[in-house]
Amino acid sequence: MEKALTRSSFERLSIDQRLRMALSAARMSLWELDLTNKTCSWSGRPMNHFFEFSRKIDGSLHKYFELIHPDDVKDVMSAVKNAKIGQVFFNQHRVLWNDNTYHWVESNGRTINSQGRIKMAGTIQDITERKILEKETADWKIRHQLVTDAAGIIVYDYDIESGDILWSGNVEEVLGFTSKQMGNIDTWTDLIHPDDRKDTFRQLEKAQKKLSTFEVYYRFLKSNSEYCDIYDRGTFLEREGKAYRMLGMMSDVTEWRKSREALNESESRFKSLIDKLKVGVSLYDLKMEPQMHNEAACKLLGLTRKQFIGKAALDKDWNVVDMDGNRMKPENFPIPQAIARQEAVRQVVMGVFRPKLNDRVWLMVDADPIFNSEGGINHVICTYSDFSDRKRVEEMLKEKNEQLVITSDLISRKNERLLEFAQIVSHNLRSPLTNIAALVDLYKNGSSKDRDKAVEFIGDVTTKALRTVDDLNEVLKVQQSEQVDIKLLDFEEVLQKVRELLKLNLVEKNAKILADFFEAPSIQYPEIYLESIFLNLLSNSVKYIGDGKTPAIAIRSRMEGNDIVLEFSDNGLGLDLGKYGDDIFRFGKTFHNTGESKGIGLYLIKNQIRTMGDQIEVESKVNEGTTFRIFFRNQPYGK
Amino acid sequence: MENKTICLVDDEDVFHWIVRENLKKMEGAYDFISFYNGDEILEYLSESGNTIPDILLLDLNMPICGGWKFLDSFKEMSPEFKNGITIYIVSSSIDPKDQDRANEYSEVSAFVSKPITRDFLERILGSSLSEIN
Repeated sequence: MEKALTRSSFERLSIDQRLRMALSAARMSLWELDLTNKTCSWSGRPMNHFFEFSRKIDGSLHKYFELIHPDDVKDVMSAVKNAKIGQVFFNQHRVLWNDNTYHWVESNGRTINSQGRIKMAGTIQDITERKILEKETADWKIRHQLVTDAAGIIVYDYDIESGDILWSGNVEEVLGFTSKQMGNIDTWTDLIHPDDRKDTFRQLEKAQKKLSTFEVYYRFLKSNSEYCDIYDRGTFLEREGKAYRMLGMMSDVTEWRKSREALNESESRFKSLIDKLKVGVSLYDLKMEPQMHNEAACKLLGLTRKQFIGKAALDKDWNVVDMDGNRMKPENFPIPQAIARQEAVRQVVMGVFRPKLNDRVWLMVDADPIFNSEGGINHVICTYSDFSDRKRVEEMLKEKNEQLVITSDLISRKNERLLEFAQIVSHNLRSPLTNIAALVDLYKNGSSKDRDKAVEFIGDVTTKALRTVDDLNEVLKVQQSEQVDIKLLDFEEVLQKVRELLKLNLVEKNAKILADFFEAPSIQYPEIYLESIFLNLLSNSVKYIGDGKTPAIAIRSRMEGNDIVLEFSDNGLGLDLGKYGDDIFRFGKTFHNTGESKGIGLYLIKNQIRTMGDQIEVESKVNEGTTFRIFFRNQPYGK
Repeated sequence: MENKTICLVDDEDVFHWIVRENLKKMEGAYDFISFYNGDEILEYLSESGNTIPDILLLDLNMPICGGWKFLDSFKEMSPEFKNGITIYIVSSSIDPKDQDRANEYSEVSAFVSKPITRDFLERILGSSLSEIN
């Protein structure tokens, strides 16, 4: 490195020394080529010369040419060949440096005749940095042009004082005019649509005053006499506090505006269509938040548009039940299901509680995932239709069906009893009739004494037969009175009523009744049936007490799940159930010779109990007593 | 020769009279005894010295001890004793189930539906007589 020199020391140097220093600072060298003996030389000592390669050169022209870039050899060669005395030459070429990179050098000089030898002499300078800058500038210009061309952008530079505009970019492509035709500010003003001029200039002047950027839209006349929509964006350059240039870009946005308008139109048409649908429609994103929803959806779900926003599908506040009335978990709602299963979920019936209306609406819900081109889900579209009417009809049908089942059950029970009744009639009426037939036969063949006796017996048997018919009528009455009113009855009250009816018998036998209806005090049942049960069981207990005993009867009601169990226990004669079994409830069956037996009471109450779909059981030990248990089904109100 | 003894077990007075009157009108002499339920006849049979009936006409539907209950007790008696008695069920029932049940007892000779005729009485008396002879 050379030391910086003070002015005074510089003046003390020789002219030659000064010149060399100046050349070195300018990265320049003096250069001479002797065309006669084909040698070249450079000024200055090699050590402070900036051409590093020169140290390797033996001075021959041939050696120099080996260092020149192959692409430039031809140029340099022709320059040397065509050199004429007195002519000026100029050449740029690349030379291989010691670091194996090519450097651009520029040589200027003149061909001269010096003492009979033809020489080229001049300066040679390293211009590599300049070359790089030049290339970059050129590249940038190309890129700029490419961008403006591609974007259909026109770039302008408007000189406010002169009114001239420098046009660049894609002027011809966009407007059909050449840059020249576009001319100055007056032409530009003329080409703006007359209706837009005032507004455009007002906005531009405002920006100019503030020296700020601007954005304006205006219609602009093209060379084909059609107007296009221009978006113009730019800024002002300031000098001494005043705008002196306006730089900006114009782009044709006609197509964009049209498609935007078309999109808006189709969107608004779509929206009004969706809004007019009676079916509720909502669009949910993958976070299960609603993106869009129509009027009907709001109405059906009982939400305002505002409430709908942010009311995610999984919101805890949804109070939803399924078909059977069970609370639905949010993860089982159609939207999360459609996302989880990656498929449409259809016809899910949901009973949605609407807090605003304080009611429950039945909705049939479909959730359809919307897939993107990669097969993933973008959205879920959800449709709701009012299912309340259908649900009501369905419930009615269900109820009707249940009634039918009950009715058919009733009918089959009725049939069973009719068959049984027919058997009873045939058996119990056949018996007296066979007797009458035998008595008539004896009458025909008998003595007068026998005849009197036969007639007497015929009278007896007929009376008995009529009594049987009366009993059967009583049974029929029970079977026909299926439409009896079911009332809420108090066991205690019914017992009191029956005690009154049996007062004479009870007092006569000094009967003790212990009643406990604490656990199940009341029952939904036909009054005449319950009275009949109490009456028959109580009177049986008194009737079949056995000689010398005092009747002690315990009556108790209790709950067994939803059933009421009524228990009657006595300390009477009892029965050998191993022998009689179910006969105890059969018509006309008597088991004790008390003379009071008709064999109808238990048959009657069993019939009544079965008519109601309930059950009676019996447990007994001879001479110890009998316990009847009646199971009244589905009496949840007994408590 | 001793008179044949015919025994009736039935809860109805009228039937007792019918059978007695019909027997009276028949040739030959028969002893007739009657009971109102199974217990009564069982008691009679168990007492020593009583005449064992040759023919027993048994009703089914009687209070205290019906025909079936009687048969169940009778079944347990000694074969020699049982073989001396021919049992006919005489019932107003025409239920085939009762017929079937009667067939299950080897002690029962036949099931007869009421009314019974004099023909029937003559036939059973004749057959039992011929057996004895």
